[in-house]
Amino acid sequence: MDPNFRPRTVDGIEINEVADGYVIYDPNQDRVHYLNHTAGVILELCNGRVSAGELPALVQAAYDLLDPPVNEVAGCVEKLIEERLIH
Amino acid sequence: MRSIHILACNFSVVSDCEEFLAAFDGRTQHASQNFAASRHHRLEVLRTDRGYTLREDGRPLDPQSDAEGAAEAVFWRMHELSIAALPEFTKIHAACASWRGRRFVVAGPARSGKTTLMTRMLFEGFEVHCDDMVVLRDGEVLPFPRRLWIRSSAVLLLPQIVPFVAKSRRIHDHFSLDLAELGFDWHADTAPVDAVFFLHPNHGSDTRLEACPKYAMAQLVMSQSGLPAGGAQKWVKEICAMVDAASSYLLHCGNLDSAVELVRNALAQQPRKSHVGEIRSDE
Repeated sequence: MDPNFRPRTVDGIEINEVADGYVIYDPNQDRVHYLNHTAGVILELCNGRVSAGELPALVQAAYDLLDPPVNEVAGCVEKLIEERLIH
Repeated sequence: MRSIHILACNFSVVSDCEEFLAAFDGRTQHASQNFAASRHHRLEVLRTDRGYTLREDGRPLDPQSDAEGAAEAVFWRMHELSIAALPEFTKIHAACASWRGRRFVVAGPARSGKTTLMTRMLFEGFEVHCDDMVVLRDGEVLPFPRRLWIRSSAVLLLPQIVPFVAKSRRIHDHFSLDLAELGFDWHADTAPVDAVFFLHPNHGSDTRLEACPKYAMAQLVMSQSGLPAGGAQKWVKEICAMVDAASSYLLHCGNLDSAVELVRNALAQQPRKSHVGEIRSDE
């Protein structure tokens, strides 16, 4: 994935936050998605201002991790693109 | 004539046939309800040479050949009309009960054991409100009042009901129990939910209770739920709000005694939610 790519959430999706995750309703596809907390945080960071290359460090800081979870974040971003929640 | 209240509907059921009325009485419930009825329907069942003629508010329904068939048809028509009268509510396939003021729902697919568990809880100090469906709106659930329909094979697991079953009509291999007729308090009132359990049958094995992430519980509950008239957006929001305000557990239900104990322990850890308008004062 291009580290300069700045993903952003697609218009119209509705984000419902629950204590330990997120439930997303996408009216464009009439689908519901269930995200755990880290996936939800990554989705929220996809605001068009943060680059894909910056995401792992932000997740590392948010969860106080020893190392930036580069592969996990990349996998999550790809999945969010595949599900058409970000572009 | 029989007068039946089911949430937003009042029904007058009129018949000239005692056999029909006896069959019908074996299907109706006597839960106390504080939900105001806003609709009234009149259902008439008349015996003829060829069977039974049915009318709903003056309009003909499909005729039935015998009293049991007529009672079944009227029962299900009342069920449909009662649900149709609540379009703005989210319907969830779930049982509902309370223990020491803490209300909980047990969601799960058909034949997962909701009725068996609820019946057992009835004799263990729980107040059971319904065993099959609740409707949800604005963060509060309203139990859909219906008799408990207990599969005859489940009676072996519920020795407490044997004396009642002996006096009950057997319909389609089920016994139907009216909780009020059994002498229990039976209320179908709106209230917020303190805990949500999702039932996974684990027949013939141990019972386990595990905490479930709320986002995952939302998915499970939605799998047992139908859309309100407000559409999917409202549906997702309503279920998320209910799940988020409650504790979530997966109940892998095998041994019933353990299930009752585990649910009771989980509820004991819950602070009791205050209901809208509730006022508490120091002594």
